[in-house]
Amino acid sequence: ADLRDPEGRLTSWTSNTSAGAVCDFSGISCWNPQESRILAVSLSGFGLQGKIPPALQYCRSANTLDLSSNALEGQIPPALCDWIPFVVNLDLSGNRLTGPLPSELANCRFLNSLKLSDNAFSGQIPASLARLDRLKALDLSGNRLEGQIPSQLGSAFSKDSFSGNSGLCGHPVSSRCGSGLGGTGLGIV
Amino acid sequence: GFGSGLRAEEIEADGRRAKSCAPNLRLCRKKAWPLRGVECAAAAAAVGSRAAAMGAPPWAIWALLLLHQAARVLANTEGDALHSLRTNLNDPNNVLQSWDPTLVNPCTWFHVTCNNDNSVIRVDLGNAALFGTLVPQLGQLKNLQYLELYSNNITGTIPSELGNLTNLISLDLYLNNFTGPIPDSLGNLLKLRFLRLNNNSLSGTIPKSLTAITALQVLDLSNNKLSGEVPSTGSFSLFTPISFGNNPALCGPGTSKPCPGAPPFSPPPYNPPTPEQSP
Repeated sequence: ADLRDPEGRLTSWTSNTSAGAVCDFSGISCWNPQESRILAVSLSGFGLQGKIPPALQYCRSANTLDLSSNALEGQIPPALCDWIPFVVNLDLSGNRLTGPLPSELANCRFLNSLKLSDNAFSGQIPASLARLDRLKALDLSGNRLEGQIPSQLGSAFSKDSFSGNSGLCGHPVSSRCGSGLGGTGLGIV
Repeated sequence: GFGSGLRAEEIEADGRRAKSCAPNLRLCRKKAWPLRGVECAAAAAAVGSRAAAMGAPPWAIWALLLLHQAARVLANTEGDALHSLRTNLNDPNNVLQSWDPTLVNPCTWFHVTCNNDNSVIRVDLGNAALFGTLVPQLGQLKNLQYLELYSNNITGTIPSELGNLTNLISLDLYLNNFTGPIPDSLGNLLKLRFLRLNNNSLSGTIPKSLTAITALQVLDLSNNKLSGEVPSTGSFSLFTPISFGNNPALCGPGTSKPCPGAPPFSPPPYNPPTPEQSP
């Protein structure tokens, strides 16, 4: 399995498939107690290791995925928004995730809150994220992101959303792109 | 004078202090009051003044007031409301057997929960095999927080009087046979966190008034016959096609169909271009 549970926090996760049984699993809530349609997966601080699992595709009704404050590694799977396309709150902050932010995150088009802070994400912030028209909270702070902040995101969110990424430039972080040693643009000779 | 036969009262004539009202009622306080103006119970005053206007002798007026006050204490609006509901429902499993309307309040009835002031805060009748319809009197349960009527065979419409239940936290009517519209008045339920009306035959449009309920966490209107545009403002920013699925005539960004005349949705799913060889 991709996900590991060294602290045994998921022992309530049995293979009982009767209607509503999954609603009693720790960290899982359902749309209503009569059916097994999952509403939220909230596993913050469960000591989980391993990678973000494809089994999330079976939680297609989930509007919340909170895997924050664990020890997850690997990258954000580009297919994540095919697995849980209706996610409204996505929190992967405080893990050991690496790699780029996939531009396919824009396919989670109902996102209201996207928290990816305090990982080791690298590369540029995809411009496609500006298409998330319901996004009200964005936290990319504390990563290794670099390059220009897409202007629509930069004007919609404060610098707290982007802080702690020394290679990022453009509004609203203080450094201007292309200037000084950290810039990536052309200098005037 | 008043004459005899009023053993429960120590009322003196015109404007002088009343010593007490009828025992056990505690509805009146010691205060000076004129013959007709009983401040502590306006209804009793109405009864008294009507009787006086009809020329009834004073002792009869007081007897009427006493009986009226007694009736007011034994009658309990919330118990009456729930009793009306019971009368309208068919209860093959006898889950409402304990609902005795002669009791002073409904707080000892099974499936009813009261607060410390003996006012109903929960009605839990989910999965009870009930048939029949709801009643407007449910709107009188002014402290009700949880109305759980899910998974029954209840028919008829959702009473608009439910919009008076301003303390409601959870309204669960899902898995029934409700028809008719979602009342606009439900927009008054500003403390509502759970609104689950899914799996019924509700029709009409989704009231925009619901978008003002900022407490709303879980909305499920799926599997109905609703039509028109799905709101996406206010609290509805949190709700996705899951909340509205299986309502073929709904349209808008919360569904898979744009509304007629509206601009198209945001571009189709983003697939990054594969890198091309540069010469």
